[in-house]
Amino acid sequence: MPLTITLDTEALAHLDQLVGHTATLMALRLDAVGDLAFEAAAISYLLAAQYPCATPVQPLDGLADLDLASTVDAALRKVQEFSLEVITAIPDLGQLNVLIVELRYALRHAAAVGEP
Amino acid sequence: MWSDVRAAKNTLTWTVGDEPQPGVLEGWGATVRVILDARRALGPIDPQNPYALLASATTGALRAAGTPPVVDPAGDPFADVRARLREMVPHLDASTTPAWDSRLLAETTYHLAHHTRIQVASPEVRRWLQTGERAFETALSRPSPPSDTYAALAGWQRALAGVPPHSDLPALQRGILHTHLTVLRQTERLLDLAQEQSAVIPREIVGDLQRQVQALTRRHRERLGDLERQPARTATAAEEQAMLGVGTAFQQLRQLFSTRSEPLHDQLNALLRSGVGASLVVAQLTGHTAADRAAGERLDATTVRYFTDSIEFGPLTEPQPAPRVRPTAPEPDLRSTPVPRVERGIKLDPDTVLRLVRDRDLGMAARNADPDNPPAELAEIAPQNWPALATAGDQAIADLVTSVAPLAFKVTQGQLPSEAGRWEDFDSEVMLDLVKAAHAYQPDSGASWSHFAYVRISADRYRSVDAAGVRETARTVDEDGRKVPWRPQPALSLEDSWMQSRTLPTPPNPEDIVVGQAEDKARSQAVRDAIDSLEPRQRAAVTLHTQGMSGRGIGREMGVSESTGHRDLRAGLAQLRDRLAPEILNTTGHANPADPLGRAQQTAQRTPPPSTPRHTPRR
Repeated sequence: MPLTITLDTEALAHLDQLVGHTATLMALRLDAVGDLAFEAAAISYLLAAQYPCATPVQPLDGLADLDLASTVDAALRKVQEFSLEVITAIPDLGQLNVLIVELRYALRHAAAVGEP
Repeated sequence: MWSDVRAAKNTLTWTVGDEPQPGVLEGWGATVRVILDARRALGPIDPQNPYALLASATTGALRAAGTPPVVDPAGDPFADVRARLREMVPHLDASTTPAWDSRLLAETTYHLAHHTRIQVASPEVRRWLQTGERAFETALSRPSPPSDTYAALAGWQRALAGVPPHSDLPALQRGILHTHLTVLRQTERLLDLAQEQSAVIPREIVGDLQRQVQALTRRHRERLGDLERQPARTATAAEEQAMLGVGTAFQQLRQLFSTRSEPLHDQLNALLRSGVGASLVVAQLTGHTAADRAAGERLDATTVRYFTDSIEFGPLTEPQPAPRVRPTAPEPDLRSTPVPRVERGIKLDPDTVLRLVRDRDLGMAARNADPDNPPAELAEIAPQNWPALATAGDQAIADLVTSVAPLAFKVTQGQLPSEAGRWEDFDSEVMLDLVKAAHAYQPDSGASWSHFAYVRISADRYRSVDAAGVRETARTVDEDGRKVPWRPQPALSLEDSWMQSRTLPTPPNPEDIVVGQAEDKARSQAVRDAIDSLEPRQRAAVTLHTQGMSGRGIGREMGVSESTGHRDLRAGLAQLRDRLAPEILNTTGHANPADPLGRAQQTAQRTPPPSTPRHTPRR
């Protein structure tokens, strides 16, 4: 009997909103950290397009007003809500997790050394 | 043959936009199909070929106009020229004068595309036609070799051609804007480089392009901000398909820009040749105001000027590759990463810990010491032996970290790693914290090494996670919904508590976790797998139960009644009992964690902890 994995497509859409907001906030930053945000955005957007939600997914409350650090934290929480089974079945989610962790680390590190 | 085509072309009536000739767009669509047949007779059409761009641009134009593909012969101004072209197709052969035929076909196509564009009144349709015309205009002005970037941008244009005209779906618009921002960012980066190397391209052109790229970037950002406030609506099938196309192009462009598969000047050339990623069309599809659209048009016009003014374009010198994420520090040299000598999770006896700490201190002293002014502990050791001490120090840190790595994983993840890949994904921050702890540990503090590591990691995890508001929410409300003072609770012991406790578990002694790790690994993995395989509600109920909740609390958390919460919990526990026993016997160990450890250790070495003794060089 084939294994059936249940994917929360609404959560995926919310994750995409958060990662997309991160990329928007970093649009003017041309360094490698900005690239990381856009790399994550490309993955999350394609995932959301591949697994669309059957019902319209409204924007997260207050998304437009979230600052960068809060958005990345929220995206990290969201991506880590997916079960191991789902991440195993959709390796891009695992890759997204790694990218967000790296992005979060890079942002904290850059702040510590006074970079923009 | 070509003279017949030219004669037919000369009979076309040239009027300008306001009074469009009827049937011109339908006729043009049919003509493009014949042109493509003629071009195929001369060889395959690569994605970076201007004919491919013409095809997708024509598709976009027809979609924007809502024009049916059927041509009315009475209103088709291209009927004659199309008939002449069709007659010619069987005589075209790639093996006989292909360059001559190719050139004539390209010129004819360009003239016809231009003829069509100026007769169309709709600005949306006209922008699409302009994109196809631009492809020929730039190719005829300055032919270029095949380029990966050009091919990827052609794919991007095809994705745009699939977007339903006037679609206002926020998610689709957002994808278009983010993808185009990726293109604009890369262009701006390359223009910065061109600005530094002023011989490459005239500063005036670079300055114009930079200003327009930046203006369009700012407009895209503003538009994205607006979209985040717009309510969502159901996507049509065409919009879902378009999102898939845009997402694929987004991914391809990101990968292309991160791999540097071709010289940078070829990449910049292709970006300019594409009108910087079809900015004209993007502005049309996403622009909210006339100013948005004008910004895209200005950028497109400047890129065309660059090609048609025959401005020379020299090669760009590749910059030194920058570190990918951490710009202030070099990538770790994994060749020198020490391989741990101890087994993961093993309990180190106090004498071993003391010896490792001594090696650590000597190693750090040797790494930072001045040979002309050695510290006391190195006074008796020749400086040529110091590198070996530094290596032994690294080895000691690796051993200390390895002995408590499973503990750290439990504290941070609440579960043990199972597959090889999980160790690869191990949170590098956690490993870095562990390495820092290994640097900071002092045996004379009275705490054992594992206890010290446990406290450090727990504190760090709670700080970082609570800053994001996760664990605090879960722990500051009791099962009756009353607020209780928050205190750190380990996120581990899933397997230790789920069958035993109905109250918040007491934090286990970290020594107990480390001891018996080998047996524990198999058991916890099996439990974790079994819980993950439960139905969602049962899994949620069991997970809440492991956090000390009763049926009432579980029901409240899950938004169901108390009895339903009880029922889900009972069913989940029963499933677990059925599943666990045989699976515990079939589990295996972990993969090698050397890489994350090596990375963390290298990072830690770049920023020595405050407790590390430092020695001022003699002046």
